[in-house]
Amino acid sequence: MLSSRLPDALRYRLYRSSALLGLAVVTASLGGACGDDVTDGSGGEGGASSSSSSSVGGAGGEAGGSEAYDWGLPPGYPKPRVPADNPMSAAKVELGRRLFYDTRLSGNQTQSCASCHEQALAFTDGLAVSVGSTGEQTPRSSMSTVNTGYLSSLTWANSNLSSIAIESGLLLETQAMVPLFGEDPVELGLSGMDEVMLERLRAEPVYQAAFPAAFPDESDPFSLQSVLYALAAFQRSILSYRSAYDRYNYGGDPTALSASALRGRELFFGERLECFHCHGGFNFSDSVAHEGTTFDEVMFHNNGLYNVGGTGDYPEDNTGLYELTGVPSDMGRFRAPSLRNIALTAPYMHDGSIATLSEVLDHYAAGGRTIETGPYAGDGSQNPYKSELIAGFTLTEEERADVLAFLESLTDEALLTDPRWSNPWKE
Amino acid sequence: MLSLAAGAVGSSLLSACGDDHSHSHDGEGGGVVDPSISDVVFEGGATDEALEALIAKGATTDATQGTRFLTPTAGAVIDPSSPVVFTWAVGQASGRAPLAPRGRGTRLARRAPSLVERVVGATLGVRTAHAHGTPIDGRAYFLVFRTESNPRLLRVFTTRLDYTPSAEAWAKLTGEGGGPITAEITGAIFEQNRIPQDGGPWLGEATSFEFAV
Repeated sequence: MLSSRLPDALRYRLYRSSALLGLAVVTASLGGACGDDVTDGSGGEGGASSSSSSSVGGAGGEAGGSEAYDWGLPPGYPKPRVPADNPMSAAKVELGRRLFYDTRLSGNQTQSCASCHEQALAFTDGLAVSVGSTGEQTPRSSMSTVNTGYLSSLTWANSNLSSIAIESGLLLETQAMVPLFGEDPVELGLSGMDEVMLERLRAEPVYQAAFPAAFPDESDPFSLQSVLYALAAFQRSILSYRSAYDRYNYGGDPTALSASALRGRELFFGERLECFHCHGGFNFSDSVAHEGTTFDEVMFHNNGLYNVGGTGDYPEDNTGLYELTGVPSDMGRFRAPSLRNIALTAPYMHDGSIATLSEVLDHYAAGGRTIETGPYAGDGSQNPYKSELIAGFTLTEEERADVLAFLESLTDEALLTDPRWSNPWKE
Repeated sequence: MLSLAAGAVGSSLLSACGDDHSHSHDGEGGGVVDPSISDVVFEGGATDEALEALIAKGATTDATQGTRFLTPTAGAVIDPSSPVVFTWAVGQASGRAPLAPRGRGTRLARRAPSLVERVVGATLGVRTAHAHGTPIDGRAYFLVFRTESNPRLLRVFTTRLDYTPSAEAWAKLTGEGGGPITAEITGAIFEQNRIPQDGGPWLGEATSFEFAV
């Protein structure tokens, strides 16, 4: 089982975090999906904010090279925060890239991380809900792995992972165990197979050089911790900073944004639409941390997507933060994802239940979604747990086009083919 | 190295965010506004907090990070009958063709001042700036128009790469009584209204123009 092979550092932190949060079981059944959650236990607070951990450090590269890691970012652009336990290095990122695309990281060797996180789709999969290696559907849509190094919380609604990040900074490292070893639902299906996986990796000639290069101080660099740390380092390196919006906003290029996109920008950041409250800042999310931030804000929102039977309920298998806390007001509360590359990551919402960006605007304009018939019928705009910011608005057709043009300007075309993040096994 | 003078923060007044949503800043929904920037016109969601951060920090010159005016061209003689669009770009981006002036520039003009702002502005003579709005992430530009006799003829702080003067601002520029007007931009990169270590500010290339008589 996973518990017998869990890296000591992570085991300790998971133990502490699970104890603090009242988690009954973490190690045996992490449950959930990349877009899903730890499903056991209770406790934790939605909208938690806390001081950031002192154990996180800069981007120095102790492992696999002492040089500072080059993020490739332009001047003035925030840099991801890096846990002191897992400094960045080019060798580690390269190993993580290979692992990210390696189907040996699934029990039946049919899927890799990239199966649900395709570079061409801004590291999502284009499905309403993702499908694991055994064919099991997860309840939630695959989230983009772009700019995850800036997040103070991962997955759609997991305050426990946020607490781990705040305490140790090992957020990505910890989260990687969910798709690898989760049993409900099964994603990569490696539960109880961590040694089998490591044997597969040891047998690969490329890894025989890559693991020692990435973890030169480890007596046995082939370990689960190394896998998790390398995967996290690679994900941390995937940064979106070259969209048209960035070229205008950071690059000072007046040709980058169309007049329509500029008008959309003003609407987006205006008080009439209120978009920026949950999707603000450089990463268009309100759960962001990076180098230099001293306060980790983690927010979850009910956006009125459902109101089953007028009770405020969400569909049983997808109740958001409530699933963890059992607190009624946490019903339907999910993390606001980054809107970077949003034009590429359809369908939308945690369950992929809205097909297009235009329909997303309809949803917010109405102050919530009304489902007329069926098991989920109800007027989401009347959900008693809905965020007060989802109040509805009206847009002219021209304004709608402007907002959409702005959202499309967040697409980072260079990211989609950047060889730093492409499949190395095809090279 | 050029240091922008940081004005003293003296008297204070409450400044509303306007519309129907209030932000907290230095308390509840209001904040301290530096009277030394009370004349500044705020555009594109730029905030006074960011401007104060910019003014407090010394600007340097760096050709790759500073701005260059695209329109009007240096030495231009401008028809004073209607406002022109001022456009600029940063570093290498200034080599690219500017966008055509927007036909609906006034559509994006500042929102109407709130009642509080109108009252405060009328009684204390302060600007109706969009104070304490969304924090700035990315670049913003402090555009200063000056003449020999008036170093603060018109000052604008904006996140945009263009500026179309309002009728009131245009009257300020055209009413100066002849002679060249110099425009200069100090830009910086902000992170939640703060300037990170490598975020400037940078002083751009100045330009000058005058009005046709």
